[in-house]
Amino acid sequence: MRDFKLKNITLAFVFSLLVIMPLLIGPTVKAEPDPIRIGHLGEWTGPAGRTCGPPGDALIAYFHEYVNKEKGGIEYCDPKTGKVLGKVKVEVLYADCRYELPLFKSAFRNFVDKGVIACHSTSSPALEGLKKDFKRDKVPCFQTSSNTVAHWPPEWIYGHRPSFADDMGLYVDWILENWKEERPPRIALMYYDGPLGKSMLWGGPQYAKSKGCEIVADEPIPGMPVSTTSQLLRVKQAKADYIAATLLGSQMALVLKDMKRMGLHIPILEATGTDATELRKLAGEAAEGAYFTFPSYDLGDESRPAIKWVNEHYRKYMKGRAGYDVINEPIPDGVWYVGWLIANIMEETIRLALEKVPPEKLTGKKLRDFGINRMKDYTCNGLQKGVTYLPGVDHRGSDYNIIHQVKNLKDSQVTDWRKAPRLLPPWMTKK
Amino acid sequence: MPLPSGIYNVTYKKDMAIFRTWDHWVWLTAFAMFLAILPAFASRSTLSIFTTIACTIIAVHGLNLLTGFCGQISMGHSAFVAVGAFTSAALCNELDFSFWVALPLSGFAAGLIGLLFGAPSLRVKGFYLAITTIGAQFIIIYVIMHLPSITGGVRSIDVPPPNLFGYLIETDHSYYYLALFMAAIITYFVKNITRTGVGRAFVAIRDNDLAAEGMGIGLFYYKMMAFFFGCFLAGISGSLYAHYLQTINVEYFTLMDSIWYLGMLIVGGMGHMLGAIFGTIFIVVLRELILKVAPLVSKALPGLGVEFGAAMGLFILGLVIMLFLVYEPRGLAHRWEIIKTKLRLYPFPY
Amino acid sequence: MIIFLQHAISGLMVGAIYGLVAVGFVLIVKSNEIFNLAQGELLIFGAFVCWSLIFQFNLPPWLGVLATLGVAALFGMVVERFPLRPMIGQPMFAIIMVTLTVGLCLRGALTAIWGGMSWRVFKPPLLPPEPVVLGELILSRQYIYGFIIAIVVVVALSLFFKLTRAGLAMRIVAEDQQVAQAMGISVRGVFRNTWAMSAILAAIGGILLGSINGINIPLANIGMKAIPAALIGGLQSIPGAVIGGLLIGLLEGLSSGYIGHGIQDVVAYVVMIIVLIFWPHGFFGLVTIERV
Repeated sequence: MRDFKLKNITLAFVFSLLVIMPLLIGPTVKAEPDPIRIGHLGEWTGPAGRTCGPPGDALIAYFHEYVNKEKGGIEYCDPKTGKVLGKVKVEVLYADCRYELPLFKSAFRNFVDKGVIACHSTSSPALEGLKKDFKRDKVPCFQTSSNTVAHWPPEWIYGHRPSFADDMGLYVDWILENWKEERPPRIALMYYDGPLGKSMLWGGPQYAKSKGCEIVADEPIPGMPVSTTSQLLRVKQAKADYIAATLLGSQMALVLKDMKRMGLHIPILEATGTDATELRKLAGEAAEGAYFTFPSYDLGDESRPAIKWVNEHYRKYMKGRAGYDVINEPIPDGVWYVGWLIANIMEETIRLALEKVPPEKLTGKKLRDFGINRMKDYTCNGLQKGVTYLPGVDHRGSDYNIIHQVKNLKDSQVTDWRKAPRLLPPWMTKK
Repeated sequence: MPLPSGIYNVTYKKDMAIFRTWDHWVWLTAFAMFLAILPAFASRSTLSIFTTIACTIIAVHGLNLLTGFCGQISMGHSAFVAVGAFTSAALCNELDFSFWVALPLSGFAAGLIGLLFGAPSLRVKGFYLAITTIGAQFIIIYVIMHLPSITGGVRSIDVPPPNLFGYLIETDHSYYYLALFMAAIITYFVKNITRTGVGRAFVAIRDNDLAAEGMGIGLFYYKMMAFFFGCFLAGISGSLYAHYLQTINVEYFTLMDSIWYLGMLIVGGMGHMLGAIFGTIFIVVLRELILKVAPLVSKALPGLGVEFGAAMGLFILGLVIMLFLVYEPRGLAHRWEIIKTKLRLYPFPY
Repeated sequence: MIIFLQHAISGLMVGAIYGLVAVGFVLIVKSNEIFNLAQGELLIFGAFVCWSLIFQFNLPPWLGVLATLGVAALFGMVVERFPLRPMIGQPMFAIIMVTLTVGLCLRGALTAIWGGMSWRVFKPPLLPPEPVVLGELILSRQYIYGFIIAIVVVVALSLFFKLTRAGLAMRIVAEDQQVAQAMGISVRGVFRNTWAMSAILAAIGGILLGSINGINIPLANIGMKAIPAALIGGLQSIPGAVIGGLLIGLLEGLSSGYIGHGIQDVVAYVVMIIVLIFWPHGFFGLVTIERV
């Protein structure tokens, strides 16, 4: 009898949950049509939540808090006279798709049904798997992951920095500039054994070889490594001068710790958008001396007004949120920062489009024609150098990147903005 | 199968018939009509969910044959789906095969690979077999990742949409009909397998393989056949899904997906035709609902941030399935039979 | 030779941790005859709790670790009480699926509490990070301690099963639940104890891994690495699980050292399939004679 009661209670609970869920969903369908809608194909609880969560938080905070509340919206103009008519708010729709393509697909369909004019994502399944959907539904998608496959051929996906392969090219140029010896430099590759890490291979090693460098080792690192000693030993045996790496922050930290333990001193050049804060946090003192590319100035240097602007808003909006500790870590992570950056670029493209198109008529295609395609040398309030989209030729945004190094456990810039070579992946050059 | 009184099973053939009463025909026709006119009023996101369900049902039918009927647990099913998807993509891209030829061939490829990984089933049983098939998951995915000349490696590769006499089936509406048609045919095919001697041999092996062998059922032959059919259907499902997405990547076929296939079957009820269908619908729809609920949790509790809502979504997903299983461990198909009987006997308890 | 030793030893050290996690699987299989798919989540649960106790509640490390083990044991009992006890006597698959949903819930709850976006790092580390240098061989002290802890735990468990009454009860339940019940042994109590012990083992593994590499939600996937270890050793054997873990660690170290190309991810499974074809119950598993 007791079991029977327990069963009935649980049954009632399950059914009430199932009934309540659609009721909860109901009201959102009938929201007011006024604000411009953009979609964030996000991921917080999936395997890449560490990398894809913070950009989403930054994007949502940027539009909901900064644009809508602080600025009151984006200005729109009379297309003929150019007179400012008023301000329109932006609503970010988002979904937690857990790195699963079917969920991304239905989330995107849902966004399109609700009339989004642009999307944003950091997750590879969304960027690679929905490429054709973006094209068919004419919705531009902005990306913060420098995914090479998504960039080439340039269609409806837009980035903000050179791809990982280009970053390797940037390193190769920099290595050759500082190379003193007679023999060619020997480079070892270490990359995450997945689409993100192998992004570097689409053009990077070929460029290095064409410039006369030797590729001496090719070491994939599994997604969740426990030890990388064996791979590092192979690199050591190959007598590499440099290691070019596309690793996740956690893998990079492990490699650095293992290198320190093994007494291996090979300059390691990282290209996946980790930053000094993360490396220092994960690897501690072992992070000393690691190089990384990051499309921004030192995030701790608040004497630059642009950096100060970002950091102040980070502290204001992320205070008290789960997973953020703004009191002990007042400087945003690199991944959060790029979310803010892409949000700024998206706002600018919407603003440009609203100069020509009234907000109620703005669609994805018009955003592309009148916003994205008109963007020239946009500096993101001084955060980045020259974001330019060349329609149909190059959608990577900026060609520039900065090489940083961890020095005294602090971020220090090794170079100023450097132009990365534009490396076409094999499937672009074959045809 | 509960039937109204007055229906007598005079012959074996009658007992095994799919349609026993006129009601069955009426219900089926009504359901088919509903599905046929659905695209007229459903939104594209709904149609895409239906297409996903139809593609998934095919794979779950395969798993049902293998695990539900023949008792050979497979926890690497999504790898066989991947084999189908990549075979189809390679045939269409490299050799310019038509989709209609590539579809059965990809099923065959998956079936043959399935035989390879099914071979240990002769010696290995139970948990050990389940984990051996997890091995299949990792090994197959590794091979796909490291054969870039055929599969593109880890890079997403394009898959052309099916071409039906010059008409490209690529919109959500047209693909919905294709997927539905395939799912219906496969359901009929699987139902027929289970009604024949092969199906009865499978059930005998599931219930006790030694006894089955004693009765003269060739264990190796039938186990291999179960693996072949199960993986064949997985391959068909993969090919169909690849052509729907028009792009595939090795990352879409994870161990978690394999476990979800098994989960769908368990929630639906193993060894029932309806179980595979109900389970797939239940889990896919539940996951879609959670996708929409999570942002609302964040909206209701804005101070905690977006991630909290997403995490709660995952929590609710686990909790709903957990409570469901605690309440009905035999699956939806079992509950469905009970409900049908109750309705038929209403208002009497029995 | 030195390089061979280096590959082999670093592999063995990692293998000890796999073995430890595998023992957690084996305990559950032995008594409940189900596979616990939430083992990885139990692992990170322990790691997160330990991190919080030491670095947020400022407990001294030894107390923090002990308290974590207590919390983990309690949590294991809770899991056994709610979703699993009502499932006794139900189809095995349904129970395995329930453990998976426990994992999902736990993943969601952990993400909500500790956040999935940032790594939690033990700073200062629980175990000293300085390497041990033996001639040309450089070994991580953390892994050596991990290795020792794993061996100690397993020896202790084996002794527990051999020498204590509770251990004897567990062995009887593993043999036949109905007979055990008839002998006056509380089968429910034994289940509760095994879940608690399994959760403690997962927590130890979690603390070890977490203190070496930091903690994040995807660390739970390490649980999957332990499965072939449990199988190669045989699903009912505790020393077998450790030997399986060591073997897999060794193979991973050598294969990534001499073959490369990410082969270490699959070598465990390839070896597992080959072993199972020749020893269908693993090396030390219980060989059952089936009768019709």
